[in-house]
Amino acid sequence: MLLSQYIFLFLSFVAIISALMLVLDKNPVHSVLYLIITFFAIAGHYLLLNAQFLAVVHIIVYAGAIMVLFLYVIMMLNLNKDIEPHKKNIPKVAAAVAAGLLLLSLTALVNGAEVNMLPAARNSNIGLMDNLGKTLFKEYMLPFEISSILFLSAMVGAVFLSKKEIH
Amino acid sequence: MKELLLLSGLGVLALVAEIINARKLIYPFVIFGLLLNIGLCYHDLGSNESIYGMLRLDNAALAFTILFSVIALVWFIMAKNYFSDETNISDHFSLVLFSLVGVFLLSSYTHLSMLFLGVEILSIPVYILAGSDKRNVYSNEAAFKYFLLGAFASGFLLLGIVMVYGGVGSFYITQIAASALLPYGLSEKLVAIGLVLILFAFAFKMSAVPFHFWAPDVYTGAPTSITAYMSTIVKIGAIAGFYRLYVGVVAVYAQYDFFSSYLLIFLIIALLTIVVGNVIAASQSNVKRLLAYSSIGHAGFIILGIAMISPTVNFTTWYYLLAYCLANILTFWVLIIVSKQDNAEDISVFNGLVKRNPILAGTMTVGLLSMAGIPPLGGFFAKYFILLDVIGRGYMMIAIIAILASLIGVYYYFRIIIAMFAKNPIQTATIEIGSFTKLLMILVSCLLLAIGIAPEYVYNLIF
Amino acid sequence: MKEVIIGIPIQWYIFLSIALFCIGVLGVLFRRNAIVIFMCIELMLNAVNLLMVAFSRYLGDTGGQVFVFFVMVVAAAEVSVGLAILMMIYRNTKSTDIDTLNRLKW
Repeated sequence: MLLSQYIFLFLSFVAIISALMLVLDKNPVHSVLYLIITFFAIAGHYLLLNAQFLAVVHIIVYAGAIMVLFLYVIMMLNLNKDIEPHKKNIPKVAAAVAAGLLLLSLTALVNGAEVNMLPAARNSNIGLMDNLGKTLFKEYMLPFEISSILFLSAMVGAVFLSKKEIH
Repeated sequence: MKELLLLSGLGVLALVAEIINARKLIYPFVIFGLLLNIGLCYHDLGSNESIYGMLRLDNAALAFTILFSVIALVWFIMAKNYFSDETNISDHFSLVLFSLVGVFLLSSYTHLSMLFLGVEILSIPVYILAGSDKRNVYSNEAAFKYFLLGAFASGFLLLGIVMVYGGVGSFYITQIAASALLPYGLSEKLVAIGLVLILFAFAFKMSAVPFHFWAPDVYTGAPTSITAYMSTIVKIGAIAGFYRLYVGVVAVYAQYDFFSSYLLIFLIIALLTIVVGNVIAASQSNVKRLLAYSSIGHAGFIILGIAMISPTVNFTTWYYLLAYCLANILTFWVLIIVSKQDNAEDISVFNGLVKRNPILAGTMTVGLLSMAGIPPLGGFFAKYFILLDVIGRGYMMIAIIAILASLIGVYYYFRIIIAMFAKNPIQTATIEIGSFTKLLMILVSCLLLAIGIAPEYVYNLIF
Repeated sequence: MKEVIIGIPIQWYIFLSIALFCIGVLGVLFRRNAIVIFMCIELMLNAVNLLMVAFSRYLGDTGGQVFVFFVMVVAAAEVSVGLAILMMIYRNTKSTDIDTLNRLKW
């Protein structure tokens, strides 16, 4: 086994265990923390894949912004205790069976799929900011501009939903 | 490019109008802008413009743009009351206009990133609009359910996109289609699973059975104007996106093994959608819910038409959408006026409508007859063209099942018509509507009749 | 760093991503707390991002990594809207358990 394979297995183990804990832990705050661990493991994978810039952005955006927003809402609504009501087992079993079936069918379908690589195209520097920036601002100019509309509508919407009505 | 700038510019303009205190100007500007958009698209027909290689304004894309602009125009006229609240008016306008940008992207994308952004730009404003009646718990719940399931579906959409990317090595749909013919670098398994996941995500957005379960709840809970919006414009967006992928990419893979199973999957989905939509609609007593289920049934017909991939598939899809959306907006228009008067949405509010206001009853009848597929209205020819394609491909049984299911449709549409003409009104007060509204209702009804009488004229106009 | 991609077969990344994605799906179906369901949807998107980066690396194409930015953009927009909807519901019902949201039947 190569060193990189050990790193891969370790990171994957951390990611999957903490993802499972996210689903199984009853306290929402713990779930947030487990999700952050998963995000760090995924950032480790990005580093392993030579996507350094993306790893940094991933940590800043997900662990830094999105999860803080989650924590903030949990604290604001005071949900930081185990309030989840006890549920019957049948829906839970059904959920587990459905997800398990999805896992099985997806793995069976992609099993043996080969990604055909062009040997000449194997450039290990594609994850650097230089290359990403060039692609983003040349080829992906339009989606970049369009995403501003997405943000604007999300912002208008969030403000509209959360502002108090004056009567 | 002009159309994209115009639509997003209108959205920004609506926000600016709030700042400079010109809220009264938004409405006329939006109407004018949409008319301008129709004119621009009509002028551009045949230009095949490519925008940064990410969008291509071919004739199908422009036809869909004209379609949704026309429907949006009628919708804005219909939903005038929805925009009467001064405090939120510019929010509502800008959200609706931004979601129109999403529909535009979905009808013209050539790159999967635009497909993804288009779906999201279409959906996110609609999540909010569904919850725009903030004090109403039903509206809140509709927004929440729509959001949750929409986000869940976009997860599957993304998984599909990444699988296709892994299989082909590109996001451009021209390259994905080209790799079917020149299979270098193609991993067939990944492409097969990826495309089916993307199509399932679209089936969710189109509310096709078995991904339909959110639709009746969301349609019932949302404010009625927004329900009309969701069952017309949002559906046009989803179907345009589905159409582009299915006809532009999936059909090219026809010689691969997985294509025949795709065809089977989509025939089954289409049939299930037609049957389940119509059968459940027949048992509903809430008119809003009834229209929600009937819109599911209509989505099934459109999917059936697309799955056939006949040479005229662009026209049959377009024409069905036009006839369905006009009729749907007419029925919602009457429903909004009647249910506002009586504060109920049951079928019984339509009892004896003809005595209370004959114009409303007439408009509703035209809309319902068109949706039921009675000649010579637009809805009849829409169904006829699709069934012609289905029979032309030799699927006799499917055509028969579809016809039987739409006969069930005739039953519940006539239930409302009978209630309007034969039963005695519960409340006898006449319903007053403005003469301008009256004129517009008659105009839209005549339009629906006109496209039914002369479909070949519509064909020559656009295609 | 060429050894890295030679050392780890792309299959491993595909399976890892599918596993994470399915855990996310499990969470969406399994949990009743709306906030945790949002988190599980984030997990699903991240599983896809991971696969996107892996494919991009193995294919030697920057497009996949740029796409990940757009996924992040959309995730951020979705979260802000979703949490706003949740706040609105909480203001009206004082609960985020999705079983209390069953006035409209599923």
